[in-house]
Amino acid sequence: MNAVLRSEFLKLRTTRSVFGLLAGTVVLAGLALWGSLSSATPAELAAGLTAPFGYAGIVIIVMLFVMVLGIRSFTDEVRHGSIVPTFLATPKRLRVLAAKTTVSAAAAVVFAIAALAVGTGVVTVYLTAHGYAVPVAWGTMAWLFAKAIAITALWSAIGVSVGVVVRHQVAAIVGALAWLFVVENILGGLIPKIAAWLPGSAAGAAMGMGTVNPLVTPIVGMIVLVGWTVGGVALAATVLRRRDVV
Amino acid sequence: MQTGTKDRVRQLGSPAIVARRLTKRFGQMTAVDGLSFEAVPGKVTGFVGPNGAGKSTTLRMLLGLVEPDDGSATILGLPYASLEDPITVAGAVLEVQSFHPLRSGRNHLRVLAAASEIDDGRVDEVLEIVGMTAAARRKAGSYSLGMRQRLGLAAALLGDPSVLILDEPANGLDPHGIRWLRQTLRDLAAEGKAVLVSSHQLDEVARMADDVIVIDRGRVLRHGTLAELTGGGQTTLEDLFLDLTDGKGIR
Repeated sequence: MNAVLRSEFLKLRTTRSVFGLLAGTVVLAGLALWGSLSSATPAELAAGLTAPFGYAGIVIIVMLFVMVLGIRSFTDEVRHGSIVPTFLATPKRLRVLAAKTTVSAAAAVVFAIAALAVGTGVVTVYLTAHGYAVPVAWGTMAWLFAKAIAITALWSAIGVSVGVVVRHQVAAIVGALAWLFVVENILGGLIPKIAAWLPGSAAGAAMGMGTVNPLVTPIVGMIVLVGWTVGGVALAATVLRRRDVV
Repeated sequence: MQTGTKDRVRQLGSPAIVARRLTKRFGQMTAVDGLSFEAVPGKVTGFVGPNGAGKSTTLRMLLGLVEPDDGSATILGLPYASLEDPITVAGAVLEVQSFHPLRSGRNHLRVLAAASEIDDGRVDEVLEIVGMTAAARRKAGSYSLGMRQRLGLAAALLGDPSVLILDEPANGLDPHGIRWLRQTLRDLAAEGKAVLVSSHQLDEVARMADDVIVIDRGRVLRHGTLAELTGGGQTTLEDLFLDLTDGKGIR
């Protein structure tokens, strides 16, 4: 298992795309935060680092990028044909799935930490420049960061599963984005109480972005997200074991 | 234990690859229909048939990539997927394009080596064997067709396997490349490896194979030494092939 993990980690390191995605995450997270700071009310700004304008937006951006990273973990190999030598080296395919999920989640943790660090820097600079105090509430921030990191790690694992099940890279990425931004929104309008349990909404609730369903508290949201992740990985495992590689 | 197995196979000359009544259906179409054959160590076995005869599907069943509907395939007595460290037992090249174009050839091999706990020293060795040392650190996407085939063969050789399975390895090679491939496969067989090569290029098979298996529509039509099949040179493999496949030849 360690060998497969090392192999997957080496795969991640030896193309540049992961660094491009990381750079994109950090830059977009910084810009988005700067934007929301510009439109924040003085009362919000006075709340400092833990104000609601802050980290939720960053988490959404990191989620998008690590989802793409996770999807590409498998679909890149299908697209370029390297899935054949990968499965020849490791015919026990569930080991490959486990390694891909682990490595993608680990990368997601790095992405989240980088984006949160840049975000904290941007808020600090902005508030200081505008004459606000920057009180640091360590406990609150640690809790926020832990949640953000957990959510993005789970989200990357969901990305890996989507990639395994869909296989086609463009279809998987477009489909996943459409699900998150279109389908969940439409369902949220039609059946708001039920739609609150969907993965994107559950992640939002877990991050404290609010929910229309009082049952989906932040803790429940996190548990629901774990459930979606476990379900996704289980589905991917079933599909991967049965499907021929042609 | 692995070495022990290899030695035993070499001593006895027993088959390294065994397919028994392999069958695979895709929907209504039966791609492989009760196919049985063997390939022995120390020989190049040509696996020939028209396009669509079931060659690639058969090779994929040997390697655990495609699940047979019936029958079995074993390599040194075990199904490929049950082998511990399979690439040290069998190496394979199935497609010309089997790497990420932005990864260097050397890193492509390092990734595969890592999965089987093979060190980077062996990576450089196989690059040397296939004559790719100079281009090893370039992005694999920039390689010519011939270089891609060589990289594929390097990957197959990583684990120094006693069985090699190659699907149309001569495709896209120029005359230099074809001569190099022929000599390399002959050398590998001479080392005692069982080499199974699928092809629809009959001249090529006639020039490198010891044994030949002719298949069409998923069934074995003939299986024997090249000399047996061509009547000691009285007929050509091409004539035999066209004859056996109703003169339709390569569809």
